[in-house]
Amino acid sequence: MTEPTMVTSNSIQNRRITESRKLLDIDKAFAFYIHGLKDQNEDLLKLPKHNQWIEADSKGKIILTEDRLNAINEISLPEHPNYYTLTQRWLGTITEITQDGFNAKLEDLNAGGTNEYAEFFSTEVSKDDKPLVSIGAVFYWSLGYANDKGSVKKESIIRFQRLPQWSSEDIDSAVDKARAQSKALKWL
Amino acid sequence: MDIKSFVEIKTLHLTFVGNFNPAIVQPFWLAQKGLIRESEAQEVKVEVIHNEFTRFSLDWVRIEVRQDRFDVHCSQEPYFDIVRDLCFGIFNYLKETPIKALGINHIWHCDLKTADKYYEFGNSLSPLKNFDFLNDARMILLEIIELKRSDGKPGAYRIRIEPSDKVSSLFGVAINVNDHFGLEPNESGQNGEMLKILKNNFDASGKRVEEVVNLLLANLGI
Repeated sequence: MTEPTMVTSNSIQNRRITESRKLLDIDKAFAFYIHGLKDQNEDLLKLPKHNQWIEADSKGKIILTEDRLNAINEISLPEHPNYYTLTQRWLGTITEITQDGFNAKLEDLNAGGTNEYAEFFSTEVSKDDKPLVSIGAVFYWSLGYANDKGSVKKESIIRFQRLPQWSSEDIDSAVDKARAQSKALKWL
Repeated sequence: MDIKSFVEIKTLHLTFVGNFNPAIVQPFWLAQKGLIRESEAQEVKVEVIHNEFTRFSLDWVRIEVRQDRFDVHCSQEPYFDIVRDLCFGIFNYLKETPIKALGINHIWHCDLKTADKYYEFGNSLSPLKNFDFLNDARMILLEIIELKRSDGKPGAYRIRIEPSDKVSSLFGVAINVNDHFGLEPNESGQNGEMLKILKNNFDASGKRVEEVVNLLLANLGI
């Protein structure tokens, strides 16, 4: 395996995304996918501006704050101490197991379009998910800004799909249905 | 208009209505079935596990089960598909569970950024001049329902708008889009009908909420 050509600033390293055979690193992927700067020159890629704090006059500010508290007290919304913004998501399918990890085909869950391919290192997979790594295994990969109780950080999450195992009864049932459908077919 | 500049937090809330056994759905049962990680079951925050009511949280999802209602809440967008898979897995193992209705709720917390836009948002939805007999009237809750779904499926489509204090500025609104599905008259809910609906409509539901918020903000001139 060739050495990675780019290293990110967020410990999400050794990842290479290929789109149209062009290498991108994670920081650029943030700008490329998450900030929608796909059509801009790479030199123009930049992080978003921080939210501008809007000044309101003191009277308006007090009134608005009071209104909001009254409303929220009556309408209980769940708390969100942790949430993500500007998330880019892919559905990955492992196509090849390598010495250090795996290669996968990625389907863009945000925008669709053509499939992309990426190389992942096994160090990026959680210990509990390692037994799920096999050819054909499906996983979700997301990039986004994580807001963790006020702190904002870039995050990359890899999580393998966990769906029920097929039982022998399920397989028998599927076989029975297939047989019934096969018998119902009328060949012309 | 770029909707990304307004939407700050996206949350997903799935609600199943039917007959459930709250005592079954426990973290270690989920881990034993392989639906969550073993380490997650060990670090779970359990509030209640009881025959009539269960509530616990993992880092990315909160699960609440009553005898007539099963709720799953997630405020971390990367996990939305995983939440769907989790529900799919649970009810695949509990095949006999009758589920009569399903609600796919997307709640988007939008930051309108300025006091003027915040006021105009409410004023456009419900003209406050109609309430000029009140001193400085403000709109705090609005619910609109599409009683007969335009896609012909049994159920309803409901939009609820209310203030939100979850965003960065003081001028937040929460737009809750409830995609509600019911059973056809000849269905019992015990043959995986709602799971099929969840599987077939989850992605479309997510796309439709984006359309709704886009159209709403455009119609209001935000």
